[in-house]
Amino acid sequence: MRVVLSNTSGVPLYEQIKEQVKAAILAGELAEGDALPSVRGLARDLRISVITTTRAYADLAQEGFITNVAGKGAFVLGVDSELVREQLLRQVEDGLTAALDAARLAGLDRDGVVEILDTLIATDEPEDAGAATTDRPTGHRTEGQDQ
Amino acid sequence: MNDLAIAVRHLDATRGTFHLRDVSFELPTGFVMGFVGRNGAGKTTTIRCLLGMLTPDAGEIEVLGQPLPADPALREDIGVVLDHSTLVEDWRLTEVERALAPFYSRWDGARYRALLEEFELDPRHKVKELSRGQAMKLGITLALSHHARLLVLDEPTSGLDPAARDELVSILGDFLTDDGHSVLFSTHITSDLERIADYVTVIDAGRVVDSAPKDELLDAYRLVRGGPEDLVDPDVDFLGLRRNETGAEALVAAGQVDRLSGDLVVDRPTLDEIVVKMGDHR
Amino acid sequence: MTSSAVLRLARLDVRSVAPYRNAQVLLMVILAPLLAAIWGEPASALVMAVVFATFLAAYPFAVADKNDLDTLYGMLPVARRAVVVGRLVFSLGLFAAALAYGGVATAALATLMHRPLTAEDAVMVVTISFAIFALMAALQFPFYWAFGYTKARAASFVPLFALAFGVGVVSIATGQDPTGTFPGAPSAALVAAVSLIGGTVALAVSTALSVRLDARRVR
Repeated sequence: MRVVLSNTSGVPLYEQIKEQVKAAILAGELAEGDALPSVRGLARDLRISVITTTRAYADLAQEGFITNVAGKGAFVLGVDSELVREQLLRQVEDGLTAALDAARLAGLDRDGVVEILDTLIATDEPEDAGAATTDRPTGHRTEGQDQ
Repeated sequence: MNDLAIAVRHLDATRGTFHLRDVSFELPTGFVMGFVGRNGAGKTTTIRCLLGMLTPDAGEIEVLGQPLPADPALREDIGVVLDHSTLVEDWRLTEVERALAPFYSRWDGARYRALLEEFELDPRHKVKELSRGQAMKLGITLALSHHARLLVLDEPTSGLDPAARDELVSILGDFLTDDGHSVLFSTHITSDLERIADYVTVIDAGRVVDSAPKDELLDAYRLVRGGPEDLVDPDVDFLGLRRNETGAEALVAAGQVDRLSGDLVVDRPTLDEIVVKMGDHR
Repeated sequence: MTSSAVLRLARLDVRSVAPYRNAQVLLMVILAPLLAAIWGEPASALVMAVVFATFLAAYPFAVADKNDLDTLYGMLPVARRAVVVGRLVFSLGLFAAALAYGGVATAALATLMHRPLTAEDAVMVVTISFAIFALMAALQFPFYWAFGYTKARAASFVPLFALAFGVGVVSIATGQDPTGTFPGAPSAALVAAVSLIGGTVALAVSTALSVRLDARRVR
């Protein structure tokens, strides 16, 4: 598992960990059932506090990406699990809402928006659907994450 | 297992002319607490109370679930690393082991030798030949060799070069992979703590200014800067307000930022800035 | 406070002075019989050995002061009182060693100088040596525990010098064993008993006092 933290991004460390693990899961780099490093092992390796890694894992578990098995550690859940799907749907909604806000400002009507969407879907098709979502979160990608 | 490694409640203590007043904080088992304050703020006095070397005037202390004063055997579970050597300076490192091992029922000689090797400490060297960084590592080696569950480090990084400080962070990270292990470490160099500490207690002039999970503490304050005429709002508490011809700067509780008026720059403070401003406030 | 902790601390005292013992011990080994030979009094070899031992008994205090071992004792799993009692045990061990060496030196000198000691004399010398040692330790140690070696050193040497000087003067002035100069020549048994009991009581009182003074000391 690859986690690269930035001290200067202004994004909390737990958030950076969360987003990068999430991205790895959605990109298929981490498969269902894969074990994640322990909270304490990760804290040691990243040289950060245990509370920070604990919080990142707790958030990931809450969002349905991983499960924390007491005494055994953290494991990746299937991407199609209910919670992940919900989370992804929410991201789609958020993105579209933002797009609609911008469309309103630009004076685009419904057909105009649909047309752009169709074009985007057409160009996006050959690509892996998951990869597109990795670019979505809060925009603090650290270098090396996009391969 | 008790869930608090250290609990200090309403501690009053006197050392010479210095007084601790109503010091309270808690360190949950399995975590690191940074004990931050300027020189002379009361860090060492508090630590001496924790170790039972100083009897408090009032208040309660629990260490690893045992109320103080506790049976001396409790100290088998505590590793102490100070900013100065407390060993005979002419002892070789092999003699250090021979002198101290008999006191610990769980002394692990193999571990002692392995750690010396890992830290590149020559067993034939004398204590007085060690650099500050090496002396710190010897202290940690001793603590780990008797299988301490709680590490108490008083100013472990003072006098260390950046590489040695970095190494300490790694050592503590290794120690904490066991969730029964806890660390309290005092320092006035907060950059060491900024990342690794789970909890932070800020002490100044013998009183605890704040004690909280580090992220909460950092979230709780904002550093605000404005022109020389700014930062005068009557319903805002300006901590460590500094004003000169070009501008004014102060620490403000995050909840009070909305009440500020003027064209201000609002930043998240570093731990250092919090410690300095809190100290200025007094 | 357990007896094993006390013994471990006494051993720690041995290890603490170990890097430095050579010069000190050599001095004692050479000077005690030398002075006895000069004074022409075999028994003073034993007395001098014991007096030197009282010097050495202060050594753990000096090493502890210099290296902040008081803080080390605070970190070790031992009661503070055990540290005080451990130091007493260390000094008694030192006394026993000085007694053994001084005894051998005295016996050798007595043979060489054709001045054999009677059993009565031997008992007197040993018990009075103990009284001297006990008195020295009893007078010095509370100062050390109360103020630390560095601050208390000057004051604590006063009784030591006074007694050492007195022993020497008496030996030279009378030309005979100082143990034989008691006025009214009390019986050897009485002197031995008074020395043993007096010395023991002095050490016990001094140690009890030391424990209290030590606990009150601000560190």
